[in-house]
Amino acid sequence: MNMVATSLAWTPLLQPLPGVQEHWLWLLPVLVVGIAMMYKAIRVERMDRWLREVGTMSLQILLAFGGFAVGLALIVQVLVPMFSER
Amino acid sequence: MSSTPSPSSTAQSGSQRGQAVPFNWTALVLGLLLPGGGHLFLGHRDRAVAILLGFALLWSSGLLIGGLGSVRTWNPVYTKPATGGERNLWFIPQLGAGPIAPLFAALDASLIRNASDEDRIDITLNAPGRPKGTAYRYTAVGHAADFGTLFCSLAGLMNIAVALDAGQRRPRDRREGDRS
Repeated sequence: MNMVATSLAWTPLLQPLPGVQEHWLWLLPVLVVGIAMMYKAIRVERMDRWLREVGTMSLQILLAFGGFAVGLALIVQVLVPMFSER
Repeated sequence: MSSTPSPSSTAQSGSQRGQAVPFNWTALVLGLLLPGGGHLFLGHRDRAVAILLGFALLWSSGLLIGGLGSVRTWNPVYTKPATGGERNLWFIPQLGAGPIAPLFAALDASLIRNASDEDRIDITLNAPGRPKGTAYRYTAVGHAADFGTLFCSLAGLMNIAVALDAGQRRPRDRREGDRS
């Protein structure tokens, strides 16, 4: 409820986007899609393939981020405690 | 057999086609002035629109996330330059976006830096020897400030890469249709 009220009272440009501090991870897909749109605009050979290439590149980057996150979580949550117990 | 690349050879960059294409400085400058402007100048309308869409997504997202403070040329009183807190260095990559960067920086300086007293709050800086100061009431801090600045900086950096591509790209051959 507080989040809804904050969002309704938000003045774009003069105030930062509400909720970013807690939900900043959701900004990552927007960032990745924006970069992919500009990058693929100069890389694709045929522009009719641009949208599909943007989707593919965005998905690849996000999956890579997810993979790194899982790998890092395994190291920090499983491997490090396992070795520190010895 | 002609050595001229056929229309089916669709890579548009001069270097990709194996032809020596003189660097087009006009396209580079136009691309730096307006994202996609260089490609539009060369006749690649679809590419120019795609570039502009991507740039608009990054730039407007940055401004919405962090507010006008995302594009800033001055250091607020609460930053600590001695520890690498100079936020205004991010304005250098943002300049790659063209005149829109100083335009929004001027808006930030006008509306945020010179905000009226009722829009300012007193802040106490937790650092020895630093004076107390005031800050804009709704100034972005933390992730909002970081991501807003990052979005606009990446938009500027990507536009530099795009403008360089325009400089070395072959003008569109009308016979190739709308594929490029």
